[in-house]
Amino acid sequence: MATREAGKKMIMLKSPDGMEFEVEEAVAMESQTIRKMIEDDCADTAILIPNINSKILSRVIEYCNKHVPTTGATGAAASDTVAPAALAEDLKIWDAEFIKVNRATRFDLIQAASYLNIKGLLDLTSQTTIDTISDNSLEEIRSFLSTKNDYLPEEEQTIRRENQWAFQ
Amino acid sequence: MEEVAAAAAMAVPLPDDLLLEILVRMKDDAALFHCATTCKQWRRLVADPGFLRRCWPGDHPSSFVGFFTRIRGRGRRDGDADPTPIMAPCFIPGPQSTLGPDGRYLISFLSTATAGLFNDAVPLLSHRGLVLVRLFKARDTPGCADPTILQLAVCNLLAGTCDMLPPLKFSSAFNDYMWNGYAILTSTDCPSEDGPLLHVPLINPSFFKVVIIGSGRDDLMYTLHVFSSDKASWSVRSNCFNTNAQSHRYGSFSDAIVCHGMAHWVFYYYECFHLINMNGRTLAHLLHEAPF
Repeated sequence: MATREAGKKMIMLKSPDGMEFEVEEAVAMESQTIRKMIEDDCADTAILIPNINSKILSRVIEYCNKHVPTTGATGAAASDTVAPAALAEDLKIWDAEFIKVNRATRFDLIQAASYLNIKGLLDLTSQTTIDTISDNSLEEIRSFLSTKNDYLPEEEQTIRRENQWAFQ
Repeated sequence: MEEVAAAAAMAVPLPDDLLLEILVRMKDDAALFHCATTCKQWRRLVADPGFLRRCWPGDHPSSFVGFFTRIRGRGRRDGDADPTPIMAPCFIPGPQSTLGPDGRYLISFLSTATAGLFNDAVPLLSHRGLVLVRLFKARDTPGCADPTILQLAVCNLLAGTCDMLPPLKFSSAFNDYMWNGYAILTSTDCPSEDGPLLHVPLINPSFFKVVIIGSGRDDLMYTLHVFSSDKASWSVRSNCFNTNAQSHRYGSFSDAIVCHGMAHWVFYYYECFHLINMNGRTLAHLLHEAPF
């Protein structure tokens, strides 16, 4: 797209708490949800992003800003100056730093990534959560994801007994 | 772990769709299973066929492989020179059946059975690759078989074998089809009673049990007949239901559903539907009037 190359076309994103973010169209289109809106010409004025507050939205935009040159057609341009492997490594380190947030923020990011349909961010946030819970006991998983054990003691016994392979 | 402790303090559960996004990224099967045991909500999410298909994409042919019926054809009876009309059991495959797109006679699955025996056999039931058929011409009886004798065979389609069961003698002619209840149970359905309960039971792949709840045409009581392949004989428990002996009516049975070691039939009797639930191992059974 011509406007994208020029870097001029800007999109206004609004969070429900009234903050406005002006971002490049290419950055906004990291979100498949927003991409659809733009492609369907529903994005003339500001796009209201419901249920994502300004704090989370700004972080999502930060993520998209960082990731936009390496995905899609513009990836080739970026790799002229930096070796792709080094770039990927750099992004990985950046991601690891980016996701060092508390649980509530991470869940808000998962929710935002899911709603805005940003695959990379959803992968990152979900995978981090899995890494957190993978090495934990059932009790810790339950408390981390705020779920309650609603099995009766005998039901849990039976499940454990019948599926010992998973509890070793 | 600090993060876990901090999380506990906040206690806002994730909605299902986000949980699924997390769970679908679990690469380790054991870890996924582990998660499924944290609570019932998670188990429901993990056990959902849509979710499982997302975790293990690829071709999933229907679990419906096909069904048996009888097809009119021309076959060769033992000793006959000319082909005679027959009604032989035939397998009709379902869409994308693993057994191929074409229908084929039951006999084509079996390597050990005499073809002539199956020319007019009636398929009664199939379960886990076993097919129960009624034979009208026992191996050594020439001509028409005695209608009070029930001659059954269990065909193992995967192994290509066929077991003739000892003949069952009734005091009057035996009713076919839905007037009797049939079930086949394998070692997967009813593990051996000697096996240690806490561990994986010893599975004997060739073990099977045939259960018949039936009666001769003029009998007033239903009798429970059980054949167990490890005992190689029928055991009989008479008068298995408290049906009205004077009524001289018969109920009709659905096909049996076998799951979790139990066999279930819907039984229509006296203008009422009933459920028969039978434990495959102990053979304890119960008749309930069903609320429909």
